[in-house]
Amino acid sequence: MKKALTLCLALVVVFACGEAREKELHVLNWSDYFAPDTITNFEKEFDCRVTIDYIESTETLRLKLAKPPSGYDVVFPSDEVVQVLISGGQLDPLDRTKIANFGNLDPRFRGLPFDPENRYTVPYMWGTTGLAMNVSKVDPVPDSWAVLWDPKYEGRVTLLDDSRDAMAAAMFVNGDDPHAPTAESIARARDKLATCRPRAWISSVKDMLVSGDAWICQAFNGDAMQAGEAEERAGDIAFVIPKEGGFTWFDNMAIAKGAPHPDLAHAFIDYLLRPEVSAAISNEVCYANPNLAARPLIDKAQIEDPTIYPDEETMGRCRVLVEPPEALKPLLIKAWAEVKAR
Amino acid sequence: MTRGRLAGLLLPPAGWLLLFLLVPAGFIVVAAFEGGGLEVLGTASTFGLVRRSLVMAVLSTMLCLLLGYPLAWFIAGCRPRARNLLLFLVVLPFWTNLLVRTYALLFLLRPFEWHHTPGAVLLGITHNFLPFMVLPLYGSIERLPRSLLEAAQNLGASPARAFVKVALPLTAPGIAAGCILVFIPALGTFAIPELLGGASVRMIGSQIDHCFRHRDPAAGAALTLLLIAVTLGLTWVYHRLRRTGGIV
Repeated sequence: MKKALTLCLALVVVFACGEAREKELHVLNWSDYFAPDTITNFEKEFDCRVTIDYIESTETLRLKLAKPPSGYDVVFPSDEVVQVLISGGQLDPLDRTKIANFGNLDPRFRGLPFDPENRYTVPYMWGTTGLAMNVSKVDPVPDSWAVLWDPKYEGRVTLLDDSRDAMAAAMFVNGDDPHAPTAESIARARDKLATCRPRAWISSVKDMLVSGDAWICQAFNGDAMQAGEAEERAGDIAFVIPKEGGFTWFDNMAIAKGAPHPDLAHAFIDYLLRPEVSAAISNEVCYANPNLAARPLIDKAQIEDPTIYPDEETMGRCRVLVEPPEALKPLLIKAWAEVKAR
Repeated sequence: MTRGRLAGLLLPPAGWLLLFLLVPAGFIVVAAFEGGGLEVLGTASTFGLVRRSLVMAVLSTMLCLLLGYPLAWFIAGCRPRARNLLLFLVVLPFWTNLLVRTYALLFLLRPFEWHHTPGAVLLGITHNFLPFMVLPLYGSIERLPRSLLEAAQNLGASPARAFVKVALPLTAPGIAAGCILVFIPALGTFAIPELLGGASVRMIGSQIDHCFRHRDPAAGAALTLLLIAVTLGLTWVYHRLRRTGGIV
């Protein structure tokens, strides 16, 4: 009896040690955002285990990181929350000496406005926000955000369910600068949006386009591509960056405040920046890759697809939409709620 | 002793209610008053939203009553075995999740382009809440002695007059209960207008969801208070009517 007990205890001790020695990296990412072997290769090479939790919205990410330490090591915030996370003290600064592959990044995508010195974040994938449309229903192909107000398409357009994007479209049409909002331009945008008759306020427009409910959608380029891949819409879906301007968005890699395994977290980010790893991911998920060194390894069809990689002239019209000043945020929230209540 | 035991039995449910009903409700009240959320109740857009929600809820309640009364009347007139089967069929839709049924309606209406319209939302609400109308109506109608109707007709009342003067007043409690049971959830319904209405038929439930998701909890709390006030007010009117004999 006593012997058995001792044996059990010994076993427990052995397993407990084994557990403690095994390194485990906790990752918080959007779903379908790695290549199939990205994680398994990392686990093998670094002799560790990777646990991934998935987020489906920026709001979920904010909630999960609200009270550090969150238990996560590497997280993937979109540009719109990066500043909020930094000022809220929810990210740890990166130690760039441990991220040698940072140099692989395209210089164009370093020092973006939401983190000018890349102290906290490294861009992971990027894309644009513009107009996705069903060209079999829309003639001529519009080149302005104003088409969302065209009576011809009343009830056939959708806008993103996000105050910044929807208001920005209205500001472009009003001739205001969405990158420098004022109390007046917000009020004007609110009144403009109040006259819009969209089919829905919705952020994932794929189903709207495929079903034919909507013909013109304010959309992320990824959703436009996915809608175009649907059989019943093959060749019907186009994506346009309007002449007034569009937006670029970035999903980023960052380390959560109080990450349990900071060294491994840095190693993971460095690993994801390797050209072959990075290219394998973007070949799988079809988003634009900010990694210049990975470019030769990316599928040629993707590189040549203007929906994924817009030409220089179009890129010149696209900018990252930065957080509005703190003082304007309540105004923006109120204006947006009023628009939605209509 | 027994009293003490009864109190002990009461403790868990009372504690449950206190913890999960009253405490969050308290938070809602605080949130509504603290962040200046009540201001939102005075805006024109909220007025339009509330009016639209009230119209949809009233219309769907009336539709439920119009559809539910004959159905309940028919069921009450069947033989007992058939009654049980029919009542079972009335509640059968609840075996399927609301979202599944609403998506089913969406796919049904889509080929005709009838979705994303006020009519679609009305159909969705009526379809979903009809059982709440039929069950209390059935309870009232079943207890109605048919001999009273025969007596009225023997005394010279036309069938319609007998129905209006005798059957309706005697089944009023069922009508009132059914209407309240349909109206209250219909007013606050969220998934049905979201899916079947799109942006054109937004109701108060969707706006509450919007406020809480888009960092305006004070306004969301204020709108929630408004819904609670309407609910409490209606319940009060109902009890008042019962006590003063307005409905038996």
